[in-house]
Amino acid sequence: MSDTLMVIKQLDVSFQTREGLVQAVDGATLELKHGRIFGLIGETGSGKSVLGLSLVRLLPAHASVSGSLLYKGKDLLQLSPKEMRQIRGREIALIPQNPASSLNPVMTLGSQLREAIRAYAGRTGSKRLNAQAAGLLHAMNMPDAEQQLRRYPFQLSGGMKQRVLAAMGLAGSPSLLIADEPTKGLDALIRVQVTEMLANMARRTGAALLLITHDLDVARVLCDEVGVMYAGQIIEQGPAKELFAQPMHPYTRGLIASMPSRGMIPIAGTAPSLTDRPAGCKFYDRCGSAMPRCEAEQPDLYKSAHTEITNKETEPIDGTAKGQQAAAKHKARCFLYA
Amino acid sequence: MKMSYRAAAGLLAFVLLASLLAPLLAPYDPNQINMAQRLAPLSSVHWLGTDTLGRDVLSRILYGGRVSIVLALAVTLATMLVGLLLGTISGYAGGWIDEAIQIVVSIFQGLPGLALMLAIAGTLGPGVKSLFVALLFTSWADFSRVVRGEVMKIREESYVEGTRALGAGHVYIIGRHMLPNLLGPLIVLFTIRIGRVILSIASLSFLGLGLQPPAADWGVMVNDARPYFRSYPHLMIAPGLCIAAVSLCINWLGDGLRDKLDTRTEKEHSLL
Amino acid sequence: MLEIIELHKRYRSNWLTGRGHQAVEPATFHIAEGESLGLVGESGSGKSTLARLLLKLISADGGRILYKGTDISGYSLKQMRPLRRELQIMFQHPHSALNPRRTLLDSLLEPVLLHRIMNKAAAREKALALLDVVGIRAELLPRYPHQISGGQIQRIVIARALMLEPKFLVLDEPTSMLDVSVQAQVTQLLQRIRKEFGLTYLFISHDLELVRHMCDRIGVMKEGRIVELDESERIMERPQHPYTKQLVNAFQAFKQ
Repeated sequence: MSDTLMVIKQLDVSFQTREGLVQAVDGATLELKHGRIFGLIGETGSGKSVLGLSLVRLLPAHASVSGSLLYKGKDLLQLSPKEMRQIRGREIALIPQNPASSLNPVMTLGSQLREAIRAYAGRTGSKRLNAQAAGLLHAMNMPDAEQQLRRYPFQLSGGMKQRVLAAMGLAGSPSLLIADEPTKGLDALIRVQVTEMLANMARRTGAALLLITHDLDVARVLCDEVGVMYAGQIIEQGPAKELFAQPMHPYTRGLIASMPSRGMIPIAGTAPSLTDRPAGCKFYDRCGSAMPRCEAEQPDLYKSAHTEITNKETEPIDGTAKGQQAAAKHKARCFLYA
Repeated sequence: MKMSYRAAAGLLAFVLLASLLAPLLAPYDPNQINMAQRLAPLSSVHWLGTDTLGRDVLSRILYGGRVSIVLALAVTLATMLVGLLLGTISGYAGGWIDEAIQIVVSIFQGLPGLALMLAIAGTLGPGVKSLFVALLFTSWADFSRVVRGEVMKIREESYVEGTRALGAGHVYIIGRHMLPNLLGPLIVLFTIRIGRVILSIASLSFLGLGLQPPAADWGVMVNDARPYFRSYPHLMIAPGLCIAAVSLCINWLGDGLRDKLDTRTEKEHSLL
Repeated sequence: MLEIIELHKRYRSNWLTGRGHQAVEPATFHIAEGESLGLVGESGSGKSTLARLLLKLISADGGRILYKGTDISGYSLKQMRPLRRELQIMFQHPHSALNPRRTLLDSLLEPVLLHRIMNKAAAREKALALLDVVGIRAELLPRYPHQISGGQIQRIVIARALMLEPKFLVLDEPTSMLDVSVQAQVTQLLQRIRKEFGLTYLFISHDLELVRHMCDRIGVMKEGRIVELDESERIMERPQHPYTKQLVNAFQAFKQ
């Protein structure tokens, strides 16, 4: 039996803009599993949010997307817009980035939640709707769920709003939930609450969770597997604990050292512009361990055990034991491991 | 966008110039009545025909344009200045000053516009002056509301607070940091307004409160031509087209100017 | 350097009924010359209001502010002007920190031209020298704020503050909108210039870990009140107030 829900293979996303072609996502390959949390971490402009949006095909019209998004065996990129609408929300839900502006300020939480439930579950009695709405809030550890239904968004704290949005995301009982920066701008105490809520959610519902975040602490505590994005590429990928304990890629190492709790040792320089990315390793000009070949040659993803696996070899991840093992392996896009 | 911006500027300049040079360009005296030539069709003698009293339509349009455009520009500019002044004070000062100004604004916004115009025109007597005052009185309040909103928004920006922290005075902050950032919204507001003012002048003139016959602006001409629209549509279409074209040009020009002035627009469009 | 005595502020939401909320309860503390004092608390705890009160950017309802021994609480706008050179502030949002319609050069020169300290040529010279300090290339100067990154803006803002040779700098969440690696760069810069220019900081943040890294002492604010103020290490190791304990635990939760 397979617990693989979605396989993303060689995903490329680019935008044609006035300043030139923006390569926002470049050859992303990853796998999402039932009940597992995959963390996509990276900084502004690394392409992580674009990758998230591309999974539900919510990118602007001028984006060109290639590769494959195999969801339960179907390639989402081949579906018609109508078929995609059936999947979006019901099967794959997105918890939006900004809790403050994602709720309608003049509607009670109850009516917004009921609306979400009706949209996916069809007609039901108002009593049952209310009970379902309260149940969803309750599942999010919301105190006094019944009372909350009568309140308005302005009466809630940021963390509470985040829970309501998560509850709305869960209304259609999706198999995959994408949370875009759920802890952004939250105070310390609320950040902990939201993190706990997300962990519970994945555990209870058995849905896969794709967590897009720049918050390394949250990613480390919450995720089973983590991908680090830099300049549109996943430059390192592996089990969260291992990745944070023994980061392979020089960028990941630098990123972790930049955290306040790790002494805030900065990485020199700035990330390359997505319109004008270097030919070889994207991290080349900021890297302390750069070699001559890094400048012109693009590194593949290499396993930490010094055995090379090219992108092609990672392909047969179809639920076989061998495939899963390969996917969970810690690997980095760096010649140090070639 | 770029093309329409240039075309609009060109057309507007052409109309303005033609109106200003009306005494030189007009083939006839605009008020010359010629009963023998009543309701003449378009011809090489009267390019746009003649009206019910046999006056040359082209000449009347050229002269009328001076009144319509110049008056509308003057009224809108004056409205904008009053609105800008009070709106800026209101939004910047806040507190009781804001409350007081807003009460006055609310009163003016609550008054029925047409009734107020009638009252003003009745007191001052009909004519261009009362037209000006009436339009100013009825439209400054909207302007100041918008300006106030914008000022309150800008006031909260860090760079305004930062400039205060540098020790800058109020006049400096308003002049250097607020007005330049108000320019964009003001231009949009101006271009929306001016079209409406041209029409307001027309309707007031129609009620006999604006221009006194035989002088005429485009609005008066449109109204005069109404009874004859079925048989002699050109009498109405010619001045009507002028009003539409000028309003449209000003709108396009406004859009173009706003884009040109906005250092930010370019970036926003290119994002994603 | 700064002594704050019973400084407080109430915001009235309705000027007729006098209803409102106490933004800052009477606060008494001092900031020593060359020190870096941290102020932590969640959003709405009054930390930013307190900082603006002591810079006299908003008027206090009562209490006294002593700057280098002189009571400045009653100073008028005009009397404050020379002091403004010495007391500076840096804000949270890079994208509203600079006037979007002015070039970076204009913004950079504004402080000295405003105070008429030097002519344009001398100011330019000084600006270029400071750009070197904050690590910004001079080619960026003719650009507008939206054309550069948040980290670069904050560097420009730092250079701009340094133009007036301040003594005291309020840093109001200067890195909270930045990415981790950029935050590390900017905080490193802030620490370097503190040493280099002998500055005193009031550092506001909701990130306890960051404040601990940056500051000698930390004040913890909750609902307008400073509930605890002590040396950084002591706050982290032996928090006294229940709220401080909660806060420290919240950060420990991510450490394990």
